[in-house]
Amino acid sequence: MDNGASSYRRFLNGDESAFHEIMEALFRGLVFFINGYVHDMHAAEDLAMDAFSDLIVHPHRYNFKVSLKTYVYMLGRSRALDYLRHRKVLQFVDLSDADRLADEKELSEFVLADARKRTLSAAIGQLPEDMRVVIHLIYFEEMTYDEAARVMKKSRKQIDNLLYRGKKELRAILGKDGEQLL
Amino acid sequence: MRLIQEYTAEVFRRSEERIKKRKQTQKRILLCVTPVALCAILFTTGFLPELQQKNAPSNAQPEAIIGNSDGVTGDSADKNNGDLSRSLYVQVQIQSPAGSKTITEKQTVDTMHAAIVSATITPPESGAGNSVPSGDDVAPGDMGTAPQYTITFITKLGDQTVYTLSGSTLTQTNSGETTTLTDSQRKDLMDALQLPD
Repeated sequence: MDNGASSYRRFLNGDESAFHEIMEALFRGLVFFINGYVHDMHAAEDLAMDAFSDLIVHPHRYNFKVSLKTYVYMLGRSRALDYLRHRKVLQFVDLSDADRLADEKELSEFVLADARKRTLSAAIGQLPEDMRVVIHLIYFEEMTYDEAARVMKKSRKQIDNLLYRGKKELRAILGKDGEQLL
Repeated sequence: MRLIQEYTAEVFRRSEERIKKRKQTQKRILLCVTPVALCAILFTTGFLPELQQKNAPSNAQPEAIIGNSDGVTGDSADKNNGDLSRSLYVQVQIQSPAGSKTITEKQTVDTMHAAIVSATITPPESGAGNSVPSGDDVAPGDMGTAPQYTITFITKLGDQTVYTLSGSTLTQTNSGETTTLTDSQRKDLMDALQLPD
């Protein structure tokens, strides 16, 4: 599977429906991923849309050397970090908390389709950011270590270490029942 | 959460907006840069050479432009030897006690100029050069009794190089350089300038 690269190629050749396929495959996962950084569903949606619009505005920046998913997640991460930097300066007006929580629940139900993932996700929330993101990319988005390293702009060794430490902490959080989930 | 189609539509709308904005920015930059670039091109191609041409004669001797400066020293004098027959001058005015004459024939002007230049840069056979020659070799009239000639070379642009010849002393009044000529040099110069000895 090329994670959307062929669809993107079709889109570049003029097939707009191919872009819809890419959105179907990657959008919700990206929103969930960005939400892990910004902890704000609406902002995460916004940032994910901006990341996808980068694919249209700058079509030649993607070189097809990594999977499209990796590339889009890289864009998403960079947008999320930019947002966090700017948020320190700007004050955002929060939309209704109820709306946001409902959206968040709906999204997590979609992304964390099975019970195993849901249990893991709850535990992951207690981990430091880097560990949380690495575990999310590897276990939830099923990326390879190299792809996760690219998204996080870290070396493969660093990813390896983060994952090792993350799993260790998760075991401590989940207890004996959690052993089989990892 | 909205439907994926809605998100897709929103992504396309945002992209169009961004592309439009980018084009507007490019247009604005182009509008600013184009006149500046045009001005620069016009300045370098039209105005600058004219300006250089105007400035050149006032900063340097006309001869220096074509490389046969009168009274120059050192290696530039060697270069001059090869190209004495051509000059920028179009007219010579010679003032003598007998009267003044103006020569405008290019070939004659060039010949006269070449004679003057060779007299100033060719060392006399005695080896005295610009120094005062000794004894018999010096032409008569050094004691202030000799007639004085003023030779003025004029370029097309009106720039002048003036020489005075008094006895055996040839002086370029622009630079103030003085050359003492030997008898034979003086004779050759007088012949070239069509002056009676």
